Amino acid sequence: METNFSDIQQLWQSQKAQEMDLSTLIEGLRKTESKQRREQLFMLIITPLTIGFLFWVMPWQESAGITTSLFLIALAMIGVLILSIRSKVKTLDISETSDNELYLKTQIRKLKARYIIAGKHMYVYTILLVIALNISYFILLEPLESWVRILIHTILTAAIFGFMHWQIKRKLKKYDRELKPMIEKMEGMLEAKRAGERSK
Amino acid sequence: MKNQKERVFEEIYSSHKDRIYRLCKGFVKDEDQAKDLFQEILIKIWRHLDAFREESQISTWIYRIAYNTAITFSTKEKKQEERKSEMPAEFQWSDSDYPHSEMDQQIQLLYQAINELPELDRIIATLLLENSSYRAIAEISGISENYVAVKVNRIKTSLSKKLNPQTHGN
Repeated sequence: METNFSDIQQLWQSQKAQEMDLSTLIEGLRKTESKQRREQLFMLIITPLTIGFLFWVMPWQESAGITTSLFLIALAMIGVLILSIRSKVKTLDISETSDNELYLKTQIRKLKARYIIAGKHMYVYTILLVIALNISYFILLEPLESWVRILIHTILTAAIFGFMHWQIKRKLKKYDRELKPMIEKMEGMLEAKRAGERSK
Repeated sequence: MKNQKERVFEEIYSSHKDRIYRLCKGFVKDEDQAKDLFQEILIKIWRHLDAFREESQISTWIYRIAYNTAITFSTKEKKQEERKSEMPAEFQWSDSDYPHSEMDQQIQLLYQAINELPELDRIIATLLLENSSYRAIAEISGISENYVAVKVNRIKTSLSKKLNPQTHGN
């Protein structure tokens, strides 16, 4: 016997969800919300506290080099804080309540932004860190012989750059595996919509 | 003591749970994955509930969240599914997954037919099966009502064809 569309609708609507324990879910959500609030508060407090502590313990008045390196560290920390607030702490994505086209556009932009953070911003952060540490070491190693100082600076710089470069490449490979197919799939969906609208 | 948000959430759950569940089944084949998606949608509804401003109908708002979540979920789950399909076929079905009655077989066929549609068609098909208006479908999917109308005919034909293979010579 042929199934017409209203039969299909009836068949579809006959399917019911299994009951779930809603109060446990709500309790879990409430706990997650308060944990997120605590994390936000922690990050907002810990950054100025760390910067303040560094300025308090380091003899920054004695040398312009230490002052510069402290400012660079503070700058890098604030940069990381801003990036964290953007990507992690800000969990409420308003595009989730928008229509599907706007949602797809927003998600593609956000996924691409994660690539930029890993591929570009992390290198800027590394450069700031290397400069700050080299300035501090330049002052701390003053009593040593020139060749020893050069050697330590070279090893320090190479080690940090090498490690960070390795970490960034690993991250980008992971993104290539996980994010790239998502971006391509979402772009494909958007393109299919546009092509359909054009050809109708 | 339940607060206002909890009461509204419970109302949404009881009035929309079946529709959300069916939507999940239309997007992911596996029952456990459908349950995970169902829960993820509920979590997002909870998180956004304070921001709901009644500029759109509550059901449109819920569907937008549900479909957007389902799209991302199914995109992420594709990789897991690919890994799963590398396993021998006999390991992919548990006894409870086998359709037993004729109705079970028909519903499995319907889920499969919807699953095989492109994402946009899947959104339109599941909304259509819930008797949603063209306007609501357009508001949720982000395409024009005219284009919805074009799509609807194709989707109806495609689903009927897949559920009536003998009649359509498939």
